[in-house]
Amino acid sequence: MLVLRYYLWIAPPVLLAILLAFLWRRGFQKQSQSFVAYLVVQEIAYLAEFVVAIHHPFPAMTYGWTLLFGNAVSSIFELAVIYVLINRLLLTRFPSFATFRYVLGGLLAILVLVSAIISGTLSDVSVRFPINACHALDFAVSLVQVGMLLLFFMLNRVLRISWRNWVAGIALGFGVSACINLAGAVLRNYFGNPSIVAVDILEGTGFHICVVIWLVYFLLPERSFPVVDECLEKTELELWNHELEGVARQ
Amino acid sequence: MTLVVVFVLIGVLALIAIVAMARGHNQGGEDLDALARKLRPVDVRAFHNLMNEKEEDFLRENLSLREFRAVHCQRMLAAAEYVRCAAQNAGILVRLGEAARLSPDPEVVAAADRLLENAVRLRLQALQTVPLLYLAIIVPGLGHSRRVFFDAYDVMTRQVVLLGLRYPTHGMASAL
Repeated sequence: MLVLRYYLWIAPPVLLAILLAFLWRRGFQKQSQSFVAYLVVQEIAYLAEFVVAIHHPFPAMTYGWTLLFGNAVSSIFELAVIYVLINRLLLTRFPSFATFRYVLGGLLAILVLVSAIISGTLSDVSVRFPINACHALDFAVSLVQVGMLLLFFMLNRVLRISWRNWVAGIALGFGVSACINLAGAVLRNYFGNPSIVAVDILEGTGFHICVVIWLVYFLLPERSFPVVDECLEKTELELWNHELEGVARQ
Repeated sequence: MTLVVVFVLIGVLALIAIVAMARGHNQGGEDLDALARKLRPVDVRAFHNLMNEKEEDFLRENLSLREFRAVHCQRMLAAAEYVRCAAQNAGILVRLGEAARLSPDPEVVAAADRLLENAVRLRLQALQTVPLLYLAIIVPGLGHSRRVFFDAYDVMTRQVVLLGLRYPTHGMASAL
């Protein structure tokens, strides 16, 4: 079990570093600055946690605050990445559809309200227990992420909009991780200290799956869009003539 | 405990939904020829006829209440099927619009943008129209306002024909 915990603690940041190096080489930072920035922040947060954790004796309070600060900053970036995806695929692509903005704004307001109310009841948050604040934050951010990603996937499915592979990969990765974190946060809160190891493994596995999904989607060759030859078919011209004759008769 | 069960259930169901929808996205990469074969012709006049108030009044006056209910139910189900067909066609035209947007010709891009916007609008309208038509089975007359749905469909069909002037639509214009 200990080996698994260590593996889940070390493997995701290593894989993230590989992904970051791969994206940097491909110049991906120009395509999605927010995602690359998120990866950098996540790596820094891991590094800070690691440096604090290897100190002897283990500085529990410092580790708690480092974890809380790292989680807070990376959560902001996670939400920013999801917002950028939604903005790129829906809001800027169809600027005349005010409905999208209202639906997204309304859903966000409801999610923030619900997550604030429920995370307030979850843990005993105080300056002495920064880890508890971290769990409450995890729950709140996961709930907002799950809601936004469900809306994102549903709108794309309903409207039949096509996306590039990496967009699907980022959204799917965040989705898997957020769903597992959401369940993990409430389980940890209810079962308390005895469940911490099991929930840590569950959440670590979730994030590991998320990173693997990103790697697979970024390494896969991009699916090509249907390419058409630029010559018109005779039937199309005949149809147009027919339409034109109809208009002339009117 | 209830809260725990609810949120664990939400997490599991959301996970299943997200994975299923992402899988659906991966399976959607067909070429335009294959998509054109999936288009289903829609008889706009027949839909207008189904939504006609006078037609409905005529049936109400000449049939018993029981017969009218049965016929009206069939008519609304048929109308809903027409709307679903139109929405499916619009989904295929979204793909055509996206492909045409990659053209180097700015006029093609402009025509594709218009088509894309209308096709997406039509799919959104279909989302509102189908439930309303089902509701109209119980409350006759409720679906009358949705006649405009096929006006938008007509506009979209013309946009495909116009796009076809400069860009090969793989017979989509004639299949609509």
